[in-house]
Amino acid sequence: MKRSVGFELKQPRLVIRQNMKRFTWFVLKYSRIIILAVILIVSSCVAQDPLQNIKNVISLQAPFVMIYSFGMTLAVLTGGLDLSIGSVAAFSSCAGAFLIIEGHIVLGIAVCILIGALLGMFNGILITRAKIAPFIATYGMDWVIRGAVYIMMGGAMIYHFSDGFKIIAEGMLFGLSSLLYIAFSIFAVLLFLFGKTIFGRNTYMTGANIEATKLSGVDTNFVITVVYMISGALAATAGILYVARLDCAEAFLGRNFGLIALAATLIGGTSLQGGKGGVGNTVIGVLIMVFLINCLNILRVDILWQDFVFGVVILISAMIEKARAFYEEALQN
Amino acid sequence: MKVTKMRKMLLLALAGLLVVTLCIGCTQDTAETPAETPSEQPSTAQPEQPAETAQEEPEEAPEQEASGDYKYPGAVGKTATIILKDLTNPVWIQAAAGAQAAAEEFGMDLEVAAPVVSNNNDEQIQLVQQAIAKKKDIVILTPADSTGIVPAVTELNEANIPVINLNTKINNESGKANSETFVVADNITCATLCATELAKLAGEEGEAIILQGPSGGQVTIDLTKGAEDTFAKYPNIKIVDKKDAKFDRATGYSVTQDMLITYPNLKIIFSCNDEMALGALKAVEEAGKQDDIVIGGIDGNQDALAAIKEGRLDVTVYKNFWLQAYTATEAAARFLNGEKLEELIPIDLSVVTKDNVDEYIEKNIEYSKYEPKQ
Repeated sequence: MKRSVGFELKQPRLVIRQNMKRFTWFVLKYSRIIILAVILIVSSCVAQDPLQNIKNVISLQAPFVMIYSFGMTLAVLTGGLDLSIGSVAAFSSCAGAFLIIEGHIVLGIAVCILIGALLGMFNGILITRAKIAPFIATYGMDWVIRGAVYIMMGGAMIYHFSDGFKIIAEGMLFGLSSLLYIAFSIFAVLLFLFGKTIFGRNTYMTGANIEATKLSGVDTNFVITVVYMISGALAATAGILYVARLDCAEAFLGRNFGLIALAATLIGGTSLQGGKGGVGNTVIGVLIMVFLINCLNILRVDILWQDFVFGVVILISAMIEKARAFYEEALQN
Repeated sequence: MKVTKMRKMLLLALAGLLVVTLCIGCTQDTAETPAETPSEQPSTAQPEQPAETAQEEPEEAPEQEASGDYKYPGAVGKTATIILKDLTNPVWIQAAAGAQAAAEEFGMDLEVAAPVVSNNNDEQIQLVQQAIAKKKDIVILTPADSTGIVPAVTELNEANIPVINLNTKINNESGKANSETFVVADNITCATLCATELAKLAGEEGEAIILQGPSGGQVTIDLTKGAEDTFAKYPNIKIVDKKDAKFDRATGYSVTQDMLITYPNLKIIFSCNDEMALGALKAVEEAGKQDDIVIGGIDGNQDALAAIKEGRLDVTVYKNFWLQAYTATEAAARFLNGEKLEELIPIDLSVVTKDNVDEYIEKNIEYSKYEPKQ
């Protein structure tokens, strides 16, 4: 009898502890959405015109960042990273702009995206065939491509594009900019490609354990090369959209794309070890980042504090991710 | 086996590519024809002096004689290095062109150098050390960091190589970083000119914001000071915020969007360069406030001049980097010829508005002809 009483007393406590753990895990899992909500509420309370503000950020500021951050996320998923996206965006958009300014709009955009994909393919070849670590390969390529675009442009800019071209970034539908629709379509395609197809599964597997994946008969070199091609093409897309929006193609475009994309990817919770996370995480990561900058601007926070806050958010996000993994493991045992 | 062979082939191919690239680079260098001397005389190239700047008239235009005599015999055949902050930005390419034009005119052997990473102090120090190792006769220096460059200048002083300071002042508080003269298009004056014009256009009242470059940079500090001091003279103008837009158009665009929400009654946007001003312009136009807000930039780049011509951008200040570098190189020639230099050689600055923009568009094209050579 005594024994069973003891048992009965102990069990509820265990259950409570288990529930606590589950609750913590739940909070951690959705912590990013909570953070985003807090930022949104704060900025909406302070802003003079909250609706216009949110519309600005979502439809004009976030889409660019999302498009090029997706590329970075995919590279990170394979266990690498792509530091060359900024220069790829600059090079391919400038090359495309030469054609677009002559009136070949569709050709120009196609050439731009193709060049982006080709540069990405070159990254992929350096990584898979020449066996250079992704960090070094894409970092080196970043310098090479940036140098090439400086040489190509020779300090000049291309501006005054036709309205037919600018419409791709300035068009409005149901009160939202075409940029948002473009970003959303790309997101949907990527979500399908990496969530539902064999190629997507192979990408995650390559990131999680490249040796095992290779042994199970997957051509990992192909997977990695294609992922970097997609990354390059997305960078080029972001580049050409910037050109259309700001009506100017210049060699400086996207000097900090690589680091912003990496920050958004990390804040979103995609693991640098590869195989964990995805483009869905990055959407949240980008929104947190863009709304945070917006919120700091609106709160009239001194500029000197912005970088500081930014770094703190990246670190907090990394800690959340670690804690979540810890609780997940504890729950499974 | 096959894989390793392929990899070897690839490596060989890459190495081959590298060699070919190097060869092409070298042949181009030797085959390079010297850049043209601008047909225009520098005196006509100087901009009109605005009423606001009561600065001393720069040197008279040198007259090069047809016989091949040079104006400063002492400078002929002397070696010089000009170290710029950057060679990717159009304005620094103009500076390189100006220096080269002057070097040809005065028969000097000039090397143009700039850090690969723009505004990198460490690289500039290395470039100075290279100039010392090459035993150059004179060095023209535009420091990216006024204080950070001091050790390099001290080395130049110790090696007895004279220094002409251009564009940004070398901080000589320690007395160990001496230069012969300082050729300057003063940033504080730039900001004052731009802010005065903006205040006038805005009817001397309203809320103003300042778009800055990265915090702590010398240019940002000087320009902000100039703008603040100027706006302080108008009791009805209030600076409501200062924001870092990284000297970048895309950032200027998104920061301005946020500012327009935060300050609905904004009337003046003072931007520390034209790139950010053009980004701000885009945001303002999209918010439909182009009639309420006046925007001013600084530098006078190609795109900004075009925007002023269309009546979209309101003001910019033409910094004339071509003339800055030309004047600095001429100062170097005069020094090598044994002349004593003034402590300060100011460059004419001019406010560009819709009324006089055509003149500067022409100049800009003329000045941008730069052919890199060894």
